[in-house]
Amino acid sequence: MTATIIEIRGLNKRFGVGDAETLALRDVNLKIKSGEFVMVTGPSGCGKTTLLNIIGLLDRATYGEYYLDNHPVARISKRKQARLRNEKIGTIFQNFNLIQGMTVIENVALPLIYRGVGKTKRLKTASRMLGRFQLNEREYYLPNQLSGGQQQRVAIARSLVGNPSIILADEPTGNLDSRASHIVMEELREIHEQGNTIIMVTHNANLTAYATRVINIIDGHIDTDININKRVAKNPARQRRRR
Amino acid sequence: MKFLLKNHISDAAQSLKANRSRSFLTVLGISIGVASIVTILSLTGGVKRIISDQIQQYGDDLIVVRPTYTNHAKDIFSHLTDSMSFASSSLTLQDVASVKSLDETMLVAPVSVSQHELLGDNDAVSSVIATTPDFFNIFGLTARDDDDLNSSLSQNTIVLGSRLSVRLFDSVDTIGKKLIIKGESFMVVGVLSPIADPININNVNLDEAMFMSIEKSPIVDKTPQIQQINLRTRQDPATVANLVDQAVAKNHKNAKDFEVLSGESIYSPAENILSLMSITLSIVAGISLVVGGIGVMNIMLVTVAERTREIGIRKAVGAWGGQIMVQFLIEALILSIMGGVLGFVFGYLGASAVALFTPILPFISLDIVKTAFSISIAVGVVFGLYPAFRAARKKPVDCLKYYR
Ligand SMILES: Nc1ncnc2c1ncn2[C@@H]1O[C@H](COP(=O)(O)OP(=O)(O)OP(=O)(O)O)[C@@H](O)[C@H]1O
Ligand SMILES: [Mg+2]
Repeated sequence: MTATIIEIRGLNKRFGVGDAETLALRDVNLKIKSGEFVMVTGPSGCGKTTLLNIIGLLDRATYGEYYLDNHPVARISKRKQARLRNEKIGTIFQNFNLIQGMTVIENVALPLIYRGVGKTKRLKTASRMLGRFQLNEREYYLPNQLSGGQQQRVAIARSLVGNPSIILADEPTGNLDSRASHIVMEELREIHEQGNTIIMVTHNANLTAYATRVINIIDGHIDTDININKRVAKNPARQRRRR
Repeated sequence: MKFLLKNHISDAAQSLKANRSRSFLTVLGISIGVASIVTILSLTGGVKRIISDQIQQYGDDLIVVRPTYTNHAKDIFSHLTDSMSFASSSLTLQDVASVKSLDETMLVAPVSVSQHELLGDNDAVSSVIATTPDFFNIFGLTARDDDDLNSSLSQNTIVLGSRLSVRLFDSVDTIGKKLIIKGESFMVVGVLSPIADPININNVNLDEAMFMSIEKSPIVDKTPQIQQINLRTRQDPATVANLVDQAVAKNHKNAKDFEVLSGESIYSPAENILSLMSITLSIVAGISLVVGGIGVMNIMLVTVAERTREIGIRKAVGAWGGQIMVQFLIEALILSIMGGVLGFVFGYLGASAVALFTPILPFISLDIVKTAFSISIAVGVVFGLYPAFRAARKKPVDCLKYYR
């Protein structure tokens, strides 16, 4: 439980050049241990998505060090990084990012394709995963025939189908109403309880109740980083004290 | 890896189906280039087959002497009148005698073709071949009643092709009949059996020709031209061709106004017009393959742009550049291979259309199929590579940010 799974040192991310230059992340230091449920909060444009993309190997830091499982990411080949995205990391996006031309079950099975799993086994695994999210009757629907909440559950199923140890979720409830959000958050909590590490970006302060740790970013820099005792965290009074 | 390939193929098929009409147009673009190539190869193959058929028919021990200035290159496509349009031949009866006197030559037949009006029961304009009876032996022509033709051509006796016999006398049984050429009377002493292959070595339809003695030809033709000397040997044709060349050169005081051909080269003049056609079609093929390829590239670039987000999602869940590349390369390949198949069909139809106007039969072999296939694969790879590379190179995060 105590192994460090993610370690970031002096991380900077710059976008654009000259007048259009933005420093989205500046000197970020962060250590995340296996089994944590980290919530990342902060005002719009502060660099939350940027940080999550770098952690998820979807983007690269401009400079700074990032160790994933104690391996320096800068020295991992692109191919190997893809493999890590496939096996180690599950990503959930605010806008679901399902492939529109594919059925729900094909979307969920997608990560398994890149692992060389045969079609029958792929669909069986995907179907089992969808069953867990009560989406079995929707297997052959297309994504645009589902509600937002259902689509996000499909996306979560996809992120879990490959059994990753780290789940990255960028505002997974951002497009959902409170009831759908609740369902999604309960799923994430269950996943967390099974021992997965979760890093989630959110704007919704109420959701931090699910977290074991809350990181607040302001202007590309970590402002506060608070560990929450799970039991106490459910007390709203304690929560408000964090800043 | 095998699963992945299967997946790429079904993904590609799905994507192409989703954009049916633009896929079809791209395929059509490729098919024109492939069609041109298949047409060329099919016709070249057809001509080669004619040549090898003729070699088979006449054997490879045939040797031909021709004056070099005659425009024989027009060969089998040209009309009879063309083959007679030369001014004067350099070959003389003395050359015929010299060739005949060589020990190595077995059969010698000079050929002088001209056209005349023949008066029989009916009148007919026909080719008159002035030659020696060896002509029949050289080309394996026989009389329909198995008569010996060896002494058939003398002062005033002639032999008729079977169809000419019918035209003149409404019968093939015309031995003993008389016909008049330029006021001179000739007697028919032989009628040939019908000839299976109507195109013949001297561009004359022998079924429609009259044969007379070369010595008698000045009667009908004031300046008889020996357009060709055909001869046959029992020995190595190339060696004998050399001897013949030396013998004739002596008569011509070493002037190079004739040529001696043996083996395949006798029949190869047919390739000249074909090579002209081949060059034209090759240019068309080359251009249209490039244009078709650009079409593939264009469509693939559009596809890659349209599916940027999908690419991002695939990368996010674990696809690496190589897999994305293969996926789009396969899509380009499917387009170009379908173009190849369609082009093959068009090409065969094209060759068949040409065959309507020429004696060439379209010829299809496994090699042509392979060539068409390889060309279409090459086009798919060459023009699909860049779009596929573009898709593979994109950073996942940039793809995911892409909205359309
Ligand atoms: N591709 C890009 N090119 C240029 N600037 C970018 C790019 N992506 C992000 N930025 C900038 O980086 C900063 C951080 O962006 P980021 O998306 O990480 O913010 P965020 O914290 O996720 O905001 P939100 O809560 O609104 O999603 C912003 O100022 C943004 O303009
Ligand atoms: Mg964001």
